[in-house]
Amino acid sequence: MRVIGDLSKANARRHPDKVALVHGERSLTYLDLELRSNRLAHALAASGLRPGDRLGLLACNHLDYAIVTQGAAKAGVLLVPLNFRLAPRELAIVLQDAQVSLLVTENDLASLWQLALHEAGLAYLPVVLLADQATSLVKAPLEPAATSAARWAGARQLGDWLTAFPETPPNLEVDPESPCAIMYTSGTTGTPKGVLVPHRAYFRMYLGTAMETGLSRDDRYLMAVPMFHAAGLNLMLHQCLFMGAMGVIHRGSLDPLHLFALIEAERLSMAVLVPTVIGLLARHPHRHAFNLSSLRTVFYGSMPMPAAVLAAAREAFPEVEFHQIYGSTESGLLGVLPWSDHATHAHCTGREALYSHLRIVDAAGAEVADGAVGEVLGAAAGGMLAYWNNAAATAQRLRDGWIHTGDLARREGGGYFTLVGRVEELIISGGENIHATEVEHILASHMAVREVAVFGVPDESYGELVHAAVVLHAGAKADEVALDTHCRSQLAAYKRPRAYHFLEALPRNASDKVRKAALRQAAVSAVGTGEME
Amino acid sequence: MNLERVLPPGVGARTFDVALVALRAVVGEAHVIADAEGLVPYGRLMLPAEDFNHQPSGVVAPASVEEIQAILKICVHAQIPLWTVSTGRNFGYGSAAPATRGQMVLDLRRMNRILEVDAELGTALVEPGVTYQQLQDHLRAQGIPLWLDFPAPGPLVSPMGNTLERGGGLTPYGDHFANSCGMEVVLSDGTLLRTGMGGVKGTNTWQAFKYGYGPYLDGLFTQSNYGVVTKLGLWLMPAPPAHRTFMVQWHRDDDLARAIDTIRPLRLTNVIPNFGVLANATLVLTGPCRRAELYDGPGAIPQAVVEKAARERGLPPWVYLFSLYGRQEQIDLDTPFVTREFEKAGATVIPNIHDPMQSNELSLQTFSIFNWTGGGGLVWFSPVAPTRGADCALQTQLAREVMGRYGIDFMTGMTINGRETLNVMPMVYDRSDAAKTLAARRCYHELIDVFAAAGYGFYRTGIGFMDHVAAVHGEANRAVAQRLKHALDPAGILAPGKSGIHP
Ligand SMILES: Cc1cc2nc3c(=O)[nH]c(=O)nc-3n(C[C@H](O)[C@H](O)[C@H](O)COP(=O)(O)OP(=O)(O)OC[C@H]3O[C@@H](n4cnc5c(N)ncnc54)[C@H](O)[C@@H]3O)c2cc1C
Repeated sequence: MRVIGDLSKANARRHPDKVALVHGERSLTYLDLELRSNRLAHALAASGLRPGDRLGLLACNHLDYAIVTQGAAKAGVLLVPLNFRLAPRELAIVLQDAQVSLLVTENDLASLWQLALHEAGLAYLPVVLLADQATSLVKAPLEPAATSAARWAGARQLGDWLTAFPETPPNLEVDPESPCAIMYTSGTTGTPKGVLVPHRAYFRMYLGTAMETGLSRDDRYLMAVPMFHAAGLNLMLHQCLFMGAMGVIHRGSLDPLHLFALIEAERLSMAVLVPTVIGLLARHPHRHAFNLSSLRTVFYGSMPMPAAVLAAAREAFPEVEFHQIYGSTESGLLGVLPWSDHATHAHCTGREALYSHLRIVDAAGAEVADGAVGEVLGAAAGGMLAYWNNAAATAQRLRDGWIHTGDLARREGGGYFTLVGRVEELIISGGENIHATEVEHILASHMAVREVAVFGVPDESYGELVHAAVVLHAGAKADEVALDTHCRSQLAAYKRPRAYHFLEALPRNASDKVRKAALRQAAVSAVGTGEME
Repeated sequence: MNLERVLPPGVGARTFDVALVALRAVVGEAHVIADAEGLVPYGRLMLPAEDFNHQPSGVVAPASVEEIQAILKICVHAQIPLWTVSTGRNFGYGSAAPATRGQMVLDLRRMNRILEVDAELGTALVEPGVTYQQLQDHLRAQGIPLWLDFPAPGPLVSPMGNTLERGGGLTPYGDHFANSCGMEVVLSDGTLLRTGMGGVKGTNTWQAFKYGYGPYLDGLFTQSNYGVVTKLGLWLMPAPPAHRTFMVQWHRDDDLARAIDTIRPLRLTNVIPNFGVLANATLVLTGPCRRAELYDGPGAIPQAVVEKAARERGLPPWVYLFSLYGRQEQIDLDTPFVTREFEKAGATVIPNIHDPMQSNELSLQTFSIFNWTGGGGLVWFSPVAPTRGADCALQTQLAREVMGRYGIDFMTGMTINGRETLNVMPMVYDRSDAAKTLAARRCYHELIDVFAAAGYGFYRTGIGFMDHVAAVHGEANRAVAQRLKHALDPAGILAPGKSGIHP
């Protein structure tokens, strides 16, 4: 297996009748996946898409998602997975930037893509619709939709479209070094950037992940996180297909009741989740009412597991092994903290993953010593080729064969490292470097704190001052004094927040990342009144 | 009997099974029913709708508001429609069965706490599963001198279910919705709404003042499918020091119009304070007789046969039962006055009659109606008339004519208010006989059309007939009900089809 299209091809040879994916009443065997994606590859070519052209895929989790990822790959067409949480204007920017030739999407998202296409001046873009789902995610429109997909001129149903094309493999050799996707990074500031990722980088990741965490072909995946997401697409959907395992798709909100029921009913063994959701599951009052004994492995990432969550998760799911996976869209897989390391190093992010190569360097590019903090670099061979149509950004990110992740990590000794923040989030106060994440972890461990974001606010005397925006648990009480007392014992004085802002919720972007720029802005404008809403 | 598995519409077995796992975890294994045999009682009908159309796919019985919220989450996700019942004994209107096939019954009978009784203000706050019997036992045990008003099946049914149907009883508190005050409602997105004063923190007026501030919402949750009502405030009548029930006998069949016109001013001026009931002889005869004892010929029982049988038992063609309540002196003062008014109209007044429903006594006496034909078929045809003799006479004439053509015996027990009369007509038939069931169904549909053509609408109807009745009440009304449905239950999972409102 060397290219993404092989995920279906090789497994259709190895075990054609094995069920690859299930969603509700529908399922696809590996052979189904192979034959239908072959048809799609022919269909794309017949529609004039050439290798290197872009196909936008805007869909909630859907059984046919993999048909599209496979079909595009087989046609040499670049997949552009699109975030359905974007606002129409944001989506329009991405569609324009990627210059997609075709959009595969679904009725449930009609109001989003129709507005975005208008906004982008792409009203004549060919649109192909995935089958409607029984579980509709959008509220019923009040009036018979002016924005009904059925009325969109030229929109075709994927199923109908494919019938006209042969099931035979397309006659096209795809180069593993060529890009297979443009993954758009959310970015908490500025416009999104498209990352060109070659087939080859993904296979390093699948192999590394499988070997580090002991995955098996017998695994049954809970496919709940969104598939457009790098983690959803690669750690979950494609990793599952790579293994020749089976996935059960969940569409809609990550409510613990739905997830538990699916795990029990489908005897799922494997899930990719974020610590926030793990915390919700571990503490859910009904968890004991479900038989979750089939669950063996959980991948988490995007943040370390707070100690309290880890403790709750251990207690709630004593049979489950949690593995922390660290990587980024640009760099691919970089680090793993396997379950066996959690006993001693749960506070760490992990160590270099198999088939990866990472360095932690100071501003001068020299490897930092144990205990020191530097930027994480990943070997170029494991990650991106370039940013799409953005030479300047590429030059900044990709230098001397290394991908500069922008992540700050502390070298811990013994091969471990711990992420402490982002380069651009470094707060410099009175000449001292303060990592927002470090302060956030301390505050997050306070009982009353549900969410926290720490950021720097410009100050004449100190350069920047540390501020914290805090969301408390419903009904919980804590004031500035209590939080400061809590920090006092655990943080150097200069790192302690100088101001607290108690909010109902943190502002987040469409990828759920906290918009610190907005917090900073609000804090700056509140200086006069001493209040922040 | 067909014991095949019934699934919610558009929901596959695999999806349904996943939802059942979640539902069982939430309410406990014992409180989810999904096997065909266990579901039989929930699909059993008295009214002449088609069984197939009203078979539930399952039952889930929560014990708390939190459990209801969790159930809603699960069912919204899986798109499983839920048909809410409180005690599920909506006999003759659909019992516990859903308006459309495959809904899950959300059975609230486990939520049966009496949360509060205020003896001074005469109010109570109850959960859905509380029955009139339970509430009365509680009042008696606590020595609280408050009376209940209940529908005829009072011992078995709930203030909640009956009030949400805008059902009625026979005392001065007979309009149950009018005597309710404050609701707690769960919407399908989990929102918990307390109507009226219920939203005020620390309120002690929730059961005292209905309207609250801003739009008055309670009516939205009656005869509708906009929410799951989890608490209901009730107003209860202080036990009167004395009461006296009268029977007014009208001696000729065509006395009906005169009876109505005589009763109206007495009701408008509140001299007669209670609903009472005006029944025809056929309905009265269902007490002591079986139909077969009186008539075994073809078609509906002839009026002459009815009148003869009634005469033999000392009964006239029309009987009106009402009561006076209050201090004995007042009752003694009013008795000659009301007696004179009826006698002037040619009726005979018999005082000191015993009617359990008018005197706070729960009984299942009226269930004798099922013995009339046997076979367990019953449906209520319930048009409304202005309280005018001519209208009530016309309605009687129309109903007799249509029912006669289908071989169904005309019966009515009218609830007479000052301005409107609920003309509640039980249609009793043998449901074990498919032809009779079909005839009853056709008859009901034709009655709706005939009454609508005469400009009459309806106070209530049962599953199988809801769309038809909704159509009579006008396109704009239906469209607005629909818009409210979208706004309050955008997922469209609560009781689709209730009162003709579909998602
Ligand atoms: C012989 C006989 C005599 C009768 N006499 C009378 C009478 O005098 N007066 C009268 O009114 N009826 C009468 N009935 C009809 C019926 O049995 C009663 O109205 C009874 O109270 C309704 O059943 P229930 O209380 O169990 O309500 P349920 O069956 O629990 O509820 C009725 C309906 O209300 C809605 N509902 C119930 N609970 C909720 C909730 N919590 N949230 C949202 N919606 C809800 C549902 O649509 C449900 O189908 C009689 C029936 C018979 C057989």
